[in-house]
Amino acid sequence: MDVTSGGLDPAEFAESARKAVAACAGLHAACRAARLAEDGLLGVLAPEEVGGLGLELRFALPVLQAAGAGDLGFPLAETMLLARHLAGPAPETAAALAAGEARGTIAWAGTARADLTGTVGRAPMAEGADWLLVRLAEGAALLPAAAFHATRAIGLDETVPEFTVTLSGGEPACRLDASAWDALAEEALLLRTALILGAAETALSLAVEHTTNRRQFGKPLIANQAMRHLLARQKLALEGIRGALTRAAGCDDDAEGVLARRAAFLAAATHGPLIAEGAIQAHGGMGFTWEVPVHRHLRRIRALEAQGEAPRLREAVAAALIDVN
Amino acid sequence: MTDGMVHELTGEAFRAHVRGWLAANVPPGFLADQPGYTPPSLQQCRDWEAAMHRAGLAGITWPRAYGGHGRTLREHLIANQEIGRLALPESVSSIGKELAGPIILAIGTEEQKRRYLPAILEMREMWCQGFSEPEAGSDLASLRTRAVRDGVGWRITGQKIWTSGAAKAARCLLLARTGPLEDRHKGLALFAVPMDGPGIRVRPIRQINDKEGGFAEVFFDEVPVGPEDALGAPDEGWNAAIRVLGIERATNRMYRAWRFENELRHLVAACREDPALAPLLRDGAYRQRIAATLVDIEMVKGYVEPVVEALVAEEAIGARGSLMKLHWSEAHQRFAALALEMLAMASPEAPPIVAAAQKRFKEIYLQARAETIYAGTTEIQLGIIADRVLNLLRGK
Repeated sequence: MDVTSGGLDPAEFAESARKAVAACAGLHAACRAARLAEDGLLGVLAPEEVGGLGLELRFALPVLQAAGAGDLGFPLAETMLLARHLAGPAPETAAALAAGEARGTIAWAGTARADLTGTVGRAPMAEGADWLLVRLAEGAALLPAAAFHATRAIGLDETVPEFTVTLSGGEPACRLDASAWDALAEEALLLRTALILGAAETALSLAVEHTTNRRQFGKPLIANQAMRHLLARQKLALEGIRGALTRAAGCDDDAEGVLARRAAFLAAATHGPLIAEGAIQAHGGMGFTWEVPVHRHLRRIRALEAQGEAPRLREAVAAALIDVN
Repeated sequence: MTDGMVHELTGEAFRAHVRGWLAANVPPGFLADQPGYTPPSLQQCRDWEAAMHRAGLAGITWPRAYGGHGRTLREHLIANQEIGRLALPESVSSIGKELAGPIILAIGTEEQKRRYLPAILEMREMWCQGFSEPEAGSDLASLRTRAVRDGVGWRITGQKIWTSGAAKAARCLLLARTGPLEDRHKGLALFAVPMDGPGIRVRPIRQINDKEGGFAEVFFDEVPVGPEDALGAPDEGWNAAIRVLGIERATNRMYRAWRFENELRHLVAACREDPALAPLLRDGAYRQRIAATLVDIEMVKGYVEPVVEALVAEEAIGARGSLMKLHWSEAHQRFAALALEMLAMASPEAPPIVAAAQKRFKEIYLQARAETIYAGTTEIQLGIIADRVLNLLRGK
């Protein structure tokens, strides 16, 4: 056990995260931040000076996985990342985010103009947020609520809906330099991977449950080899994501580590949707109903895939292999 | 560096030793991605593998008393990563090193371990695998080859098929039935049958890749086997074989992910050298597929490394080998098809590096057909995942 973890085990976070996520399901969106902060989940990555736990990224992964599995309606990855990366330039904001007293999010798509006008997108739950981090041509800027206006975007996700945000200019509360933004964006890859893993895992277990209980032609659906092989393929995809994530979380900060982190997210972006789509298929007509929650996980996975800009990341992976020398 | 010193190296120091030794000792013409590549002969391969063993790069986890190096799977992984990074020939003795050896280690007598294991590592004896039969492929428990008591020993009669390397093998790891066919997997026993004895006939079968020394049919007619060549008691042999196979599926050819990466780099390097192929490397669609190939390869690594850690920690790995095997075999097929498709667009007068890549990927593409068939077909692996990983309800 290394010094920074202080004898903690990432798995211990999974259990408290599961409970907190379950408790949040009964709460109004505005109250979820306080509930999650109670267990220290918002500040897992934030330094202790701002009330965080100051832990490494791998400790956040089981928390995000539980959030994905439990369909948590809260921008958890964004809040964790903001509380960590704002601790230096805006410690009071970071402390408020880690304590669940303020709400913040990040616009993952688009770039703000230098004068902080323009439109950015894919900002999860930006409506009602106190703070918004937007990307600039170089680095990023943190904007207060008065400096942006959020409208619901055309997006699939109903759990953590995405917003398009119009920026009205003015001075930012603080700025992150290019290297801080790059670090944040790279950490976001693994947090999203964990969210997708959790969501896909739930989708698959719902499919197993349905096909075990549902009987047709005098036997459970799952007794049919076609159904068993469908679900076996989904399990293969799920464990592929899990292995890639575990490996990436343990990699060093070198070129191999960069590839491993990108590959983990791309594994999730490639296979995650197939697992949730397959789970809908396994449910038959029930899978097409609003009531069966598999579609919520599919929607969530697709949004996370888009926020990570999978095709662009694939291009970067190809460039690192091909465009050298 | 003396033998004793190598045995103390761990982590990056061991890696540096392996890397340095390979750089200094790979024979000229051995690497399939280098100019001047000439496919090595069987004897060259035997000499090479024996040299790798002497340098501490093979038999890494086997006990030192039996010619091994007594290290952990971690050093085995490190050596394999470095071996994988080079376009070296596949082992000509993988049945001995990765199947027979581990089974003998698990259930062999002390005398058997001392007799068989050093001979495998020193490349004095190669093995073949006598499991499959014409009527028992995936359904191994329906095999018909019989082992009948003959004094203290046995007489074996039957037919095996898909027996790779039977003609060059000194011994056959043979699975035979001691009771009636209805007993299924009860009473199956394992033998180390000498291949030079009376009553054995080997008939080579031509493979789709036309590879010399490929698989064969082997006929056993009242072949006498002494008690010293029976591996474990009846039942015990089968159970050990199943257990070892489950682990071997997850640990064999551990260099695979790194070798696939070497193959991908070879493909890219070849495309750069041909004016007709270079544009493909700028084509967005091909770049996406090349990236997807790299992601597939990273996923193979994501299966291998945790299995190593689990086995070092003496945890059970269950059916994880099935997940890994299914993933790498299909990923390799996707990659091989991509490479074949791209290289088909080469200039008619392709430079030598492209011709070399075309030869290598033609072989890889054909060999990859076998990869989803041997060691449990894709369909068998899916069944194992459904039954033993997902624990799906069976029956009516």
